[in-house]
Amino acid sequence: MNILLIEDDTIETMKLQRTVSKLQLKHSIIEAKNGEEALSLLQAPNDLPDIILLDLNMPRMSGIEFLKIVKADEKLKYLPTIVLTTSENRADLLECYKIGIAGYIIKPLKYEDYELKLQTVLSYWNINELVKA
Amino acid sequence: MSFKMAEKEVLLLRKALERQKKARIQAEKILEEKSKELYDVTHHLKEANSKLENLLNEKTSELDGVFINIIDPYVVMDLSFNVINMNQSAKEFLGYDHTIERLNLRQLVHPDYIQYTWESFQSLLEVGTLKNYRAKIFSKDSTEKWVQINSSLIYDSERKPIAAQGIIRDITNETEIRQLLDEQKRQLDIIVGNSPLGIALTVKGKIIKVNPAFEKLLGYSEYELKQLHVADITGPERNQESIQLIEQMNEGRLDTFSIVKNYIRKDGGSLFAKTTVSAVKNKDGKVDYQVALIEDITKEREAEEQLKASENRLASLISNLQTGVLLEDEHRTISLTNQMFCDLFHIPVAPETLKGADCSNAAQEHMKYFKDPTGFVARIEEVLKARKVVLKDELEMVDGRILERDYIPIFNKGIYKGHLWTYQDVTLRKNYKRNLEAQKEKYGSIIANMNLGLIEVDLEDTIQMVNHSFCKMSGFAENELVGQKASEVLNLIERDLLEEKNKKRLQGKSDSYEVRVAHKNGRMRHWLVSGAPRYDEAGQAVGSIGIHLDITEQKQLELQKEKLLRELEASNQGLREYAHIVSHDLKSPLRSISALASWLVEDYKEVLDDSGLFNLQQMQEKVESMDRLISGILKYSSISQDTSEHTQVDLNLVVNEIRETIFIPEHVKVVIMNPLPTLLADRTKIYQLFQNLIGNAVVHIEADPGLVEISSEETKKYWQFNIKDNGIGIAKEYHEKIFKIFQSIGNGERSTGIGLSIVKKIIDLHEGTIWLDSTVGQGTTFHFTLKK
Repeated sequence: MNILLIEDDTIETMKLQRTVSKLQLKHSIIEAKNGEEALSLLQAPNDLPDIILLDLNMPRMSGIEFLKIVKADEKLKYLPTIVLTTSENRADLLECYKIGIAGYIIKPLKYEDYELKLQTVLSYWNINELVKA
Repeated sequence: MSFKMAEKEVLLLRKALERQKKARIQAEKILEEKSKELYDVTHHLKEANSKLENLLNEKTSELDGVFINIIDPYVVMDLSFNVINMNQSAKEFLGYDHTIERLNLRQLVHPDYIQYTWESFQSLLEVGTLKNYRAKIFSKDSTEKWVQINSSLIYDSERKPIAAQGIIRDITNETEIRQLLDEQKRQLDIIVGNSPLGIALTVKGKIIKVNPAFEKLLGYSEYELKQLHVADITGPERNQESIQLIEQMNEGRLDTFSIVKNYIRKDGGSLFAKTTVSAVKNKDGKVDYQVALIEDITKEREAEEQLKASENRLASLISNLQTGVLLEDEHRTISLTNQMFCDLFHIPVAPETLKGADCSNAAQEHMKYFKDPTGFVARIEEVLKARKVVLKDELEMVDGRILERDYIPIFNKGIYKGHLWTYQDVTLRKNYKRNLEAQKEKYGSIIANMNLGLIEVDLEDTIQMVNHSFCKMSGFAENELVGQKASEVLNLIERDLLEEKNKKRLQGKSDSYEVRVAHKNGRMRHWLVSGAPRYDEAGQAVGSIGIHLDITEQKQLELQKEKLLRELEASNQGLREYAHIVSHDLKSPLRSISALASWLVEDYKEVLDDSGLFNLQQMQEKVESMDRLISGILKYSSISQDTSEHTQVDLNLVVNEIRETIFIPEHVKVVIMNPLPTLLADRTKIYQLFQNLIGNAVVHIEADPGLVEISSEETKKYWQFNIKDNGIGIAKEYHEKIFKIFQSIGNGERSTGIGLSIVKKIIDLHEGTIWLDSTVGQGTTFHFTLKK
């Protein structure tokens, strides 16, 4: 799968990369540091990703703002977007589901727990039929 | 007859004639002798007759003289109406003198009487006398005269009528009187015929003549009435009296009388009539007729009866009146009084018995009942003297009663006929009035001095009254307000509101509202207005009354409070956001540290010694406790009073879920002792509450088997829950402290000191309380209540 990870925290990016390589998963990860960067990637003529992993707390454009733009876009709205966040704020959760997400994953404290969760998410989406551009 | 026969007869007759001739000659000779003798006798007689005739003429002359000298006109005429002789009186009456001119009486007769005169004259010729010839004649001066003539024929010596003599009576006056009488009779008939009074002529009670009005009144025709006796049409009432009167009249002792009696009509109906009977007497003083005049007074009688009834009613009204009435006549004797009067003055007799009593000393007798006896007497004398209406004299009585007295003099055609006193007990009314005045004064002073602004307006919004406080509140002086339109003089911001409220007043609605008004000095003030409609005695809305309280300061405080609340809400919201952001910002590095530490262990396991590994292990644990702390703070700060998410929460399900979710050591059992209720609450908070308490309990149990018992009981206003454990217990000194944030008493690594603070906060939000019983080493029971 082509995974677009939108995440401002370097360590978080490393965690995903490490998890994917450690588990020897055949996924390619495209990184974006924030919402704007992600949008420009998505609007480029390149192939679209299969899923998006989205952090909510980011500088400048927040995850929710990004989500709104994607879900309002005729083409991009089909992309399954999974929120990956530390926010346990119920208001955020409800808002995200309202706009349209494919999952809401709380980042666990321990890396082992993270690996486990991400492995589950990725294998789940891996067996799904995905929207191909 | 045959001719032969006739010839024979003539022969016979001739022979007879011859015989006769011879006989006559013989007789003539005899007659001649005898005639000689007769002539002598006749001559002798002639002489004697002539003597007698002269005698007669003399006598006749004498008689003529008598006639001529009689007073009434006397006329002798021949049978052709030519006057032969007339006396002086006749000459004067007729204006003619037969000795001077020829006078024919026929020419004097009025043309209307010529026929009658002719007939009368024939009768005279036949009978010889004529009596009561009446005719109209003209005298010489052409005046019409009525004459009555009695006449007789005059004969000559051979009894042949040769003349007529007559005595004329001038009946001109008499006739005129009779005509006048006739006219009068006719007029009288008209009057009688058209009279509305029934008129009847009776003889000894028998009806002989009635007029149409009489017929109409009684319903009988005149013919029918003539068959009747007065008694037949007389009703029973006062009949006896009328019979007696009639008898007196018949006896000549009574000429006329009047009586009201009733008559029976033909149709059986009855009528009341005023009857006047007069006797008509003849020359000898005997009663010929009785004339009865009947006037129908049935209606008058009915009216009179009604009047009587109304008088009776009036009398009973007066006797039952709540006003004491005393009517005195001009001699100061009592004409009328009533029970109330007797009651008022303790007169122990029936009011009727007082009639006729002398009142001249009444004032003296009753003065003892009055507080000012001399004044009472003096006033009565003064009033009586003045004879002028006096109303509402107030009299105070010794027993505390207050009477109101009116004096009304009575005049009939300007002549003083007495007077009327009325007394009314007004004690109650007076006392009520006094009370009312006292109340009015009391409330008046309250109104004047109260700190509330009072204003009264009429229906046109014109100010009728303001109190001192209102002037102070508005900044206007009283004279700047009274008489002005409230809406014009007072500078209200919500002008429309006022109009709307005034309309409501007209509908009788009272309410309270707030207005903004500019004080005379221009400063904005807030008033709380309580308005109510004003009514007059008849219950008609005549305006409204408003009580005003200046609430500017309270209003400002309120506005300030509202502002603060809004700010607080915003700041709370900000704080919640802040907590989330902070927690995220704190959690992210923790996650990074945790990941990096894991990776160190993973990647450099071989390089690190035991101490290095231990330190990394410690680091992970510190990171974990830090993470819990942050989560706790976040939860605590997230608990808000928001009630929008209230749902039916079945606590049995909640506890079951918690049992499945949280970590419960193997040796500990969580038991629900009795079925728990279902509450209307925010599920998340209730979940949190139970989870924290159960979680606390289970982790602090060392005993085996460990037991956590959850029970509930219901009170009127609350649900009470008890969570009992057989754990280590909490020392008394910590019982309060444990609910404060960050106050952890546990020595366990996992305790953050936030859990019970969250519990307390949730219970506070549900207006409940929490307390605990605990014995160290034996266990703890948390009790808490939640308001229903």
